[in-house]
This record gives sequence, C-alpha cells and structure tokens, in this order.
Amino acid sequence: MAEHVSKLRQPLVPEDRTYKQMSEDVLDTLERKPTKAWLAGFSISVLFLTIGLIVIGYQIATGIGVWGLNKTIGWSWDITNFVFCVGIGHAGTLISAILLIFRQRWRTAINRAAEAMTIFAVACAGLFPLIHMGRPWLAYFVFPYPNTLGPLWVNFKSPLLWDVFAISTYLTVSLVFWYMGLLPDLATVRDRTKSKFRKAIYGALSFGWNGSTRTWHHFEVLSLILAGLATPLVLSVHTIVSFDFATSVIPGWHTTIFPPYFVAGAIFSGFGMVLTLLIITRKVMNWENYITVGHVEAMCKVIILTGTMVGLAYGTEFFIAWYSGNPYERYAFVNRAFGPYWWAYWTMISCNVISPQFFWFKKLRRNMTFVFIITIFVNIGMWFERFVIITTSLHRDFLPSSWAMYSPTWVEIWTFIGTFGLFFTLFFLFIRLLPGIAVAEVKSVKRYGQKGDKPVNVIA
Amino acid sequence: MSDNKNDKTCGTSCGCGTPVEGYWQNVEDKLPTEAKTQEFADGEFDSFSIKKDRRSFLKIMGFSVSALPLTGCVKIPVRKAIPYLEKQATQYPGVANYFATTFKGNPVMIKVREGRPIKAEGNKLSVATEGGTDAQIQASILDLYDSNRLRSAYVDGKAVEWDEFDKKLKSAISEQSGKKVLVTREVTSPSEIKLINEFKDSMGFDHVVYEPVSRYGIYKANEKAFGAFAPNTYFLEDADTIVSFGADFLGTFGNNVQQSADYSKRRVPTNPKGLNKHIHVEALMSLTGSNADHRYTRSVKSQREVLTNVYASIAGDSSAKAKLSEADQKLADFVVKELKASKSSVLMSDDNNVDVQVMVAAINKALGNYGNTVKVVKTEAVYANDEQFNKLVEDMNAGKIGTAMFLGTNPAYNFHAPKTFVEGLKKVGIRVSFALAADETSTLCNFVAPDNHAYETWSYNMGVEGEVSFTQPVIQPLFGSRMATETLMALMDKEGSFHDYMKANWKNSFSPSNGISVFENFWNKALHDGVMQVSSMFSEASYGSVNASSSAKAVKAIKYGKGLNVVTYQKFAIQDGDMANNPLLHEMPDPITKATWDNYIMVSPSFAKANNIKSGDVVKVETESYNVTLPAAVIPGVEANTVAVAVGYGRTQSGKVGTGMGANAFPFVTFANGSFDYNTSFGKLSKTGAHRGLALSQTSMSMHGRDIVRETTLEKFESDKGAGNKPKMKLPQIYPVHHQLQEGHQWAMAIDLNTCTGCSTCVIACNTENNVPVVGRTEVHRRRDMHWMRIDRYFAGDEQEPETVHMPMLCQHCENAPCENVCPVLATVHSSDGINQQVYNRCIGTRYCANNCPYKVRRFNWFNYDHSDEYARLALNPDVSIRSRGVMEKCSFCMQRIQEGKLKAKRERRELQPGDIETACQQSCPTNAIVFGDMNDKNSPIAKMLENPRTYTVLEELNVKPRVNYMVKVRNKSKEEV
Repeated sequence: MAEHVSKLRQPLVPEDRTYKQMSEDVLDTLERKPTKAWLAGFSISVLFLTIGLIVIGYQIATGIGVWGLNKTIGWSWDITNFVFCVGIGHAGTLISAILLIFRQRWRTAINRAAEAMTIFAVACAGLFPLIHMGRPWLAYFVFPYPNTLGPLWVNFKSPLLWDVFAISTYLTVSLVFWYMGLLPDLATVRDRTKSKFRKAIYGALSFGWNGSTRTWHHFEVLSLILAGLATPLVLSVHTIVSFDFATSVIPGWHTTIFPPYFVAGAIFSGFGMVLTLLIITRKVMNWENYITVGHVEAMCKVIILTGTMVGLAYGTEFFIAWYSGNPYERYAFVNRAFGPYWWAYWTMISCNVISPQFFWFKKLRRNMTFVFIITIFVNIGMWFERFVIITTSLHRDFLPSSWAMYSPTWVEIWTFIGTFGLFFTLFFLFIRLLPGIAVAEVKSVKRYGQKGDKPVNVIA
Repeated sequence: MSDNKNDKTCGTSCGCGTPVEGYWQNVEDKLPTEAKTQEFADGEFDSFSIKKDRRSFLKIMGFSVSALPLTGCVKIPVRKAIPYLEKQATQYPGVANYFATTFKGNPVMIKVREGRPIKAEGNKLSVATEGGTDAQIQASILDLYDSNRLRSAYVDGKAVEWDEFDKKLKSAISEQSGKKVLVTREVTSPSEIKLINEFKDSMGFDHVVYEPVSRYGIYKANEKAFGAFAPNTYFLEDADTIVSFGADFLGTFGNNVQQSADYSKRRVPTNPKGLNKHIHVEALMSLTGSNADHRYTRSVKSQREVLTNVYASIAGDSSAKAKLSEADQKLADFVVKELKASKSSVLMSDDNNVDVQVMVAAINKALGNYGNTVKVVKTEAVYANDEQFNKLVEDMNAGKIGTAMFLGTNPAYNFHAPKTFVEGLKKVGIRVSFALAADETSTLCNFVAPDNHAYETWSYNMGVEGEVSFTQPVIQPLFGSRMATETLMALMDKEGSFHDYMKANWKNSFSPSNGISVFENFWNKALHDGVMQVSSMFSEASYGSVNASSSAKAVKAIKYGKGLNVVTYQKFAIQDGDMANNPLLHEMPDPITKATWDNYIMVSPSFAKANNIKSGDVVKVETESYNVTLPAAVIPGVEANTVAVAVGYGRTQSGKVGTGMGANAFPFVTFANGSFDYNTSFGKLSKTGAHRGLALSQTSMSMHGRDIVRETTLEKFESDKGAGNKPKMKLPQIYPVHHQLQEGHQWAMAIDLNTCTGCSTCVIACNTENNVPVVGRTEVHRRRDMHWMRIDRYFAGDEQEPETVHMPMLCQHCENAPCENVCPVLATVHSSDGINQQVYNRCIGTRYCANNCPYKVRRFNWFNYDHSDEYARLALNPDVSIRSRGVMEKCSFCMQRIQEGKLKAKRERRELQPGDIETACQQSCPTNAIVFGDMNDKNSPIAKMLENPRTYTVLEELNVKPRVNYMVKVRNKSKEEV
C-alpha cells in the first residue's frame, strides 16, 4: 500500500502498482485464453441473439400483426425498448465528455466500458425504429436522399425524422470518441503482443500510434474537441426522443416537461446500467483496484440526484394535470396511477423514486451487493417508465369508444430478450478483444491523492 | 484499341451529333469487319468459340453484356387482353353503369363496372325508401359472388344438366304418391304468384308460405279486423307520437328502410310538423329502443299486461282492465296520456300473438290511426302462415306428403323444432330445394335446383306507398344456376322465359296513362327507373269489426313458464340468417352490443351482478326442450329476468364463413296459440366456467362525462336553438387560420345525431366502396377491426333504463391534422380542397399518425389481408387500391367519388352542383343523417348546416379544426315521466 498523504483526496488507484503491472492487469485478458465464465456468458448471449434474430425474421416475413398492438395502441414494447435502450446509452458519453470537461478525473477507470456500453445500447435502440415499421424494407424513405419522387421527401416537421438525425449523430460521435480514446491502448496491445497476426491487426487498429509528444498532443486536442461536440449531444438525444411524445396531442404525452425529465431519466438509467455491468466486471476481471468502491459510490450519488429529479418530474406532471383543469389530462394521470395498468405505474414509482433513496446512506452506497440490487431495480423501473408513458397514455385517450388494452405476444418478448442478446454479445466481445479500462488514462491518475501527486494533464 | 484511327473529333463544340468519319453509329459498325461478316454468318455459337482471338471474344462479350439490358426495354405483349370486339353502346372502360333492381323488397341501384356489379346503392326515385338502404343491401353484392354457391343442378347428390334434371324430377313427381307441397317465403310479385297458382293447378301442388321470423299475428289480426290477410304499412312521417311495444321498426320489423326514412324526417327538430315523440317498451335493448325519447324495460309478460290496460283505457273496454304493479300501471297511464294528447299517433307491437295484435288494431282504430299513420293494404302478395306450415310438418311426419319443394326456405335450420322437421322430411319421397348454396335443407333433398341470386333474376315487388319495384338481372348467372320461376316453368312444360311471362302479364294489364301510350316505353321506363307508382294494384282495406274484448281475455289467460324468460331476436346485420355466409355482415359491429362475428346471450347488468357473470363468460341457457352454450354479453336495458339470444347463427351448412358461427336460437321459438312465439320460452341459466371474449369493436360503454355527443331536450331547444351546444372547455388559439384552405372547393361533412339511428349501414357501404378488408373474429377481438367508419355507442343513466347515443366516427379531415406533421415521410398530407390524404405507396408504417389521432380513426394493415377468393375479388371497387400490409389507411371522403363528380361536371362544362358528389356512407344512409359537400358553395346543404346553431365539432378545444361536423341531439322528453 502506498503511503497515503492527502487528507482530502482518496487515491483513485488504491494499491501501488507499477505502470507495467497496470498494463498487465488490464491487458492480460486479451492475451490469454477465454475463461469458462466468459465462454458460458458469451454462448448464452449469442443464443438469445440468434433466437431474437429468428423471431424478428418471422415478424418481418409475416407482418407486424404478430405483435400485440391494435388500432388504439400503435406503439408499446417496441418504442418502450427503443427509448429504454437510448436511455441506457446515455451514461458513457456523459462520463467521457461531460466529466472530462468538468475534470472529474475519477472517470478514467470507467469511461471505456461505459462508452462501449453506450454504443452497444444505441445499436440496440436503432433496431427498434427499424423493425417497428410496417414495411421495414422501405426504411430508407426516412433519409433525405435525392430522388425522383418529386415533392415526396422527408417531413422535417416530424419528430421521428429528428430522431433519425439525433440518434445517428449521437452514434457517430460516440463511436468516434470511443475509438479515438482506444488508440493509445491499442498501441500498447500492439507493442506487447508477440503474435505477428495480432500485431498486424492491432497495429492497423491503432493507426500507427507512436507515443510521441506530438501524437499525445494531437490526441488531447482531439479529445477536447470531441468532448465539446459530444456534450450537447448527451442532452439533445433524449430531448429529441422526448419530442416524439411531447409534440403530440395525446394526453400524457403532450407535456413540456418531457425534455429535461427524459434527459434526467436517461442519465439515471444509464448510470444504473453502467453500475450493473461494472459491479460484475470489476469482480470477474479483478479490476477492483481500478474500478473502486469510490467509483461506485460516486455513481450512486448521480443516481440519487437523477432519480430524485425523475421523481420530481412525476410529481410535477400530476400537479400540472390537476392545475391545467383539462379533463383529458387529469384522467390520463389518474388512469396511470389507478387504471388497469396501475401495477406498471407503481412498479415505476417504487423502482425509480423510492429505491434510489437508500443511497443517502454511505454504508449502503459502499455495499456492492446492495448497490447491484438497487441498480437492477433502476433498470426495471426505467423500462416501466417508458411503458407507462407510452402504453397507458395511448390506451385511454380522448374518445372512450376506442379505449383498449394491450399485452405483448411471445414475439415481442423474444425480440426484447434478443436485444439483450445483442447487447451482451457485443459487450462480451468488447471485454475480450479490447482493453476494458483506458489504461493510458488510468496511468495518469495513478498518483492521484498520493505523495508527489502533481496534476498530470493527460487530457485537458 | 484497334480502332484508335477513328479517334477523330467533330472539330467544333456544337454538339450537333453530325456523323463524323470514324464515329460509329451503331454497334455493328464498331465490330471489326471480320466479326460482322464472318462470325455472325458462321452461326451465333461459333462466334463464342475460343479459336478466335482474345480481342474479338472480348468485343462479343462486351456487345452481349451491353445489349442485354436493351432487351429489357422491349415491351412484353399483354397476353390476356380481351379487345372490345363488340362494345356495348353504353359501356366505357372505367365508367360505371347503374341498373335499377330490387333486393329483399327494397329498390336499389347496382353499380356495374366493366360488366361486374360492385356496389348496391339506394334508388332515389323510390318514394318509399328515398334512396336509403340497409346493411344487408350493402353487403348483398358479396353474396352474389359467394364462391360457395352451387354450380349446377343436383339429383341425389350428383351434378346433372338442367334438361336431365327436369326430366328426372318430372318423372319422379309423376310417380310419387302423396300430397305435393311447394313451400316458399312470402311472395310479393303478382307474376310469381300467378305462376305459382298455375303450377298448383297443373301439377296438383299445395302452396305454403313460411317465414322463419313471421308476422303472422299481424296478418291474422288484420284478417279478423279487416278481412285482409296482410301486413300493416306504417306512415311514420305523419305520426306525432309513436308507441312501440318491442317492435324494432328501424331495424328488423317491417319495411325498415321506408320506416327509417319516414321516422327520421320527424326527428329533425325544425320540421314544421314538429319533432315526433317516440315511446318504446321492450325486454331487451334494440336498435329502435336506443333511439327512443322514452324507453322502458319491461318483460314480455309485462308488455302484454301494459298493452291490455292501454287497450282497456283507449278502446273504453273496462272489462279488460287488470290490476298491474305500480310501475306498470304508471307506464300504461303515461302511454295512454301521450296517445290521447297527440293529434296523430301510431302504436305497434312485434308480438306474434294474434290476440295481442287484435288489441293493437283496436287501439289504433280507437285512436283513428287507420288510414293516416297505419294502413292495411291489400295486394296480390301472399304472406306467411304459421299454422299451415306447422300443419305441414305434422303431415310430413304422418307420412302424408309425397313431394315437398322448398323455395327460398330453409326450415331444417330455422324451424323451431328442426329435429321434427328433419324426421318428417325423411318421410317425404321427393324433396326439392332451390337453395343458392348448400344449406341445411338442401343437403337433405334429393333434388337441388339452385336458384339465381336476386341480381341475376327477373321479378318485381309490391312495395309500400303504392310503389312497384322491378327486379332485373345485372349480370349473367355467374354459376350454373337457374331462376326458380323458370324451373317451375320447365316442370310445367311452359315455353319461354320468366321475363317474357312477366312482361306479358304487364302488357295484358297495361293501359295508357301518365302520358305513356306505348307499352314498350312503359316497360323501358319501368326497368330504367326501377320503381313505378301503380296505385291500382293496391287497395286499402277498411276496419270491419273484431271482438277485441275476447282477445284481451285470451291474452290475460296466457300461462307463462317459470324461471328465466328466454327471448329470441334478430340482429340488424344477420337477421334470420339467410345471409349468414356474408363476412361483411358478421364483421359489422352490432349497433347495440358492438359485438362482431358471434351471437351471445344478452343479460342485464343486475342479473349479471347477482350471478357474478362478466361479459364473455360462457353460459348455458336451457329450457325444457333445448339449450345453447354461448358467451354472455352484459348489456344495459335488458330486463332483469330476461335473457336474449339472436337467431340467424349456428348454421351447420352455410359455407366457410357462416358454418359453425355461434349457436342456433330458433329452437327457443315455440308454437303457441296458433302462431310462432319468439318470446315466451322459459328456462334457466348456468355458468360453465369457460370464458370466450366477445369480439367487440368498442369496449367502453360510457362517455365518462366528456363533451363528445351533445344533446338537449326539445323544451330547451324551443327557447334556444343552440341549446346544449355550449363547449365545456374553450382553449385560447394562437395559431393562424390556414389561408390555403379558404379558396376553391372545400369539402366538409355534417352528421345529424338526431336522425342518425346508429344502424351501421354506412359502415358496410364504406367497406364495399373502399375495399376495406374483413379481418375475422380473432383480429377484431384483438381490437384490429379495419372499419374506416364506425358508430360509437354510449350509454348513460340508469343501467336498467339507460339512454343511448350513437355517433358515426370517421376521419375528421382536420385542417390542423395532428397525423400529418408527425409522419416522417410525408405519407399523409393535406390536399388544397381540405382532405387529409393517405399516400399508401409512401407509407412505411410507423403508426405515429394513428397514435396521434385524437379520434382514433386510422387503421393499420397488420397483415396482408385475404383478397384471394377469385369470385369475391370481383366485388372489389377498381377505383380504390388494395392496401398491402404495413400501410396505414383511413376514410378518404370517398376521394374517387369526388374525382368522378368533378370530372363529370367538367365534361359537361358546368359548375359542380350540390348532389353531384355523394360519399358512400351518405348514399347508403336510410335517414339522410349524413350531408357532404363543398362548404364554400353557400347554397349547398352543407354550407347551410354549418351555420345551424346545432352544429359543432368533436374535441374542438384541440383546435384541430375537423371538417366533420355533428348536430346536437334533441330528445322530445315529456316533463312527467314514469
């Protein structure tokens, strides 16, 4: 144990590790054979992915009617899953971009995995707008490509079109940011490997990184620029997703509070998912020295903040529904809490508003098992939040003659499970093939809070 | 390249394309001489052999590859085009012809495109129906194309030619001993009656008239009172007060189309004659009852008791007066007071008991209604006789009948004791059926002579109000069928066609009148118009005398069973079940229950509560002789001790749609006091524990206090024409009006909620006009019905005595349409004449538009719906495209009709006039509740309706500015009620 000198700062890397040891800790997994646990997890993920693909194929071949939707409820699990996936894809970029700009150096240990998760989640999210279409083979109609169809082009007034741009921009910037951050570590892998084959591949992937001051300089400047670009995107993506609902006329959707409420919810669910994954990863990969209890605790604090914001939004919605005097609006919210889908609403409230409140207690924040359980609740709660917003608003809107109920079919359920299959397949591949922690960046904070710590501006 | 010596330019930059030496003009020029002269001469395959040099090989290859796409530009000849070698003078491809004919007694016009009948519409020349139709008329085209129809005559189950059939049947009849009977439905065509009489005389047959749902009680009562075995004809336009005891006169009782038209005229509150007052007493919720000003739920027994006391008071027969329960006596007093207070009135009952109908006749007589609001008109038509048919079944079982022919009748299904009938039929030697498609009776017959569909038939019909309507074929018989009348003629060895026979009859009785002196002119006009006033063929009977007092005693003496009263009724769509193979009718939501595809057991909310029954719970209703197991439907307005089951279901032989749908309720009918009694079975109900959810198009019953259907009472309306039309909520508007939606034609619609009866005829009219797919029970149960037009039904008030409102709901064509701005690909856009358009080819199916529609009128194609039946396909409207799966669709304001009307006016070089364009729903409506037109044409009915203080738009606070307007419902409520 290194000599701990700072009274104010907890060290970010508690154990005294040499740079070489740090590289080994992180990159070892890439260089040895896969463990049984990895193989088992990967196989299950691929199995679910395969079933998911078969089910989607069946749905596309037969028609969207194999889902449980009807004339009143045109969206339910599909868009719930979409918003849920976009939401969990919020933490990564927030950690890497916003925390970078705010110089939160603790982010270095977790940003790589969180960003990877973001990208995989957005990829999963992108699936749903595609397969929820009645004619997905014409999905290219949503792109403003030059054509000969005369006045038939895209509708720039439609929030769905904004989604197309928002999601694709977000995915692109996140991907570039993530990949750019990988470069020094990929170079390290390249330099460490003895196999020619791997050397060639990682060599190509690292874009000829040579570790010179000049290279580092470029790297840092680019990081800052991309962080600047990505920061507004973190806020804009879910703002625009919320417009899908906020710009409509349906009571329960037609709400000006949605943009901040959705962004808070997204960060909330994103951190929930990051924690779920990292608590397992740090254990399985023996990264407890890098992803420390302090990291988990910091993220728990973000969860309390955003969870409470979400709770405030829930309350505000109810207040405004009453205050507006609009009978449709009032009914929509009473129906949410006490209508046929009351169980979904109260699941959402318990998971999202009540469960994070336990994090006020430091002891609980530092108990990994407890945190893990709460993050699972957060994930469930945030899925239900979207289900509640989408389904309960649609199922009873203006004219009671059209009121209806919805329940998913096996196709929808397996599509959702298949999405998790895709997500975890990608995550397992990532853990196996790429450095799961940004080693180069963690090295820069090795002496943080310890004797001789001088701010080393690796980034910014 | 070998050709680089040819690389010369024109020398100018003119781009004129003038040939310059060396520039090749076609591919052959480009080929080296050797290739041109030799390789092709050697035969095509040689040219590809490798013995040639590599270069020429490459050139040939290049040529082939570049020539290949060119072959794609060649027009492939259309192989199955059939030229108009003999085009008829009136037929143009793409232009519809209309032919007048008659369906089930109602004058209709059939729209024919390129020889195919595709739609039935009302005949506006008819003074009776005034262009109105009903659901069965609208759905009838699909029956014409029913691929289940028989393709030839059958003898002992073997298909035979007609000549052979005639020979075999003739010899069989002549060899068969025993009595011979011809059973038909009611026949209203004098020529057919004449032919049947000739058939009776020459072949020695008896003629028995049988109706599964008969009005024998009325006919018999009229025979007693008027000496005329004939129905009542009601003239509801002249009635200030209408009192109905169970008579569903807007739906299934009497001439519903004519009655609806007349009734609705007096439902317009501005009618100078005033709003009529409609009092309805019934045991179950009917379409007509749901439109009443005062509706009372009473058991069948109570109805008879109340009616007896009403009779006693009005006819002054104090001996008939009985002591009733307080509520019933109050009701009787109320009815008497209202009847006596009004200048003209009518009282009717659907009771098939002769004594009850004698009392009804005595009441109407005492009120002076005969000749004014109700008439008994004598014609040559023959009507159902329950006693005779019941006797026939007895004779059959006794083995007295040798030959029985069933024309248009299917007693093996709809006789109240089908087993007895079938047993009897087995004892009949020669059994002949004229069924169009195999049915329960025809499958038991050894001779089957399939009749033509009405649209392939010549006939005419004695209508109401002195009107004769003609039936003429609009297409050659599609299958190997033959008109039943011609089969009869063939059996009599009568020469010629039935057309000639009936024309000759008309010619014999023809006398020049109305400026028509030549018979052919008369005949052509008759067939062209389809209807003609021939009052000489109708004569009004006058009331003689009848002992109503003894009838009243007889009614009081009727013994009722114990337990639950099981009543049967007809649903507006399926009626007696003869069109049970029609999917359009099955998928039409019932106007009251909103259920499709099934029958069910209607129970009252109080009974359901007491017995813990929920809608969809499968229950068993049993009487001593029969039982059915069906899902329950808990419906307000059903009498507490009554359960109701619709007849017309449970067909065992009815084609792929009708067979096995629901359960047969006809065996609950009894034969009592000389007539079929549809209402007086008694039994019990038990739960089976199973559940079968009803396929409902609407599940919520109440309006939840929302400002959707606005209504007021006549009293309030008289002091304020805008009564009841105050919006509950008005939100400020910040958006400017659409300037582009001010000029030119601007289409709009207005629906009068006071005249709309909720009958749902428009729903089927819209289906057939717009090729709306039928999706089946499972899909409706999943709330995926595709109807572009639906009728919302809401109940209010007490569960036993509810008030009902109906509201047709279709795309509102909002000026600020919420569906339009959310579509990412502009698949739904606004036209400059104010129509919200759906571009099917552009739609990718995000369903956002449907989600964002406040009226939920958009319909999504969840699957590729079936249009594969090669006959049913012929009924599709060629002007409307079939939608593929994954595409949104909805009401287009009948865009194709608008276009047709505009083009017609343009061709005739005139302005578009009101009435040039009628939407399908508007055309079909029997009560003219729907008005459509250009709101910028200030003289048009629509523009006037938009200025009516009763007019409003639904959810106007959303500022979506719908183009569909509704008019406040005005109820004529008495101050004092029961």
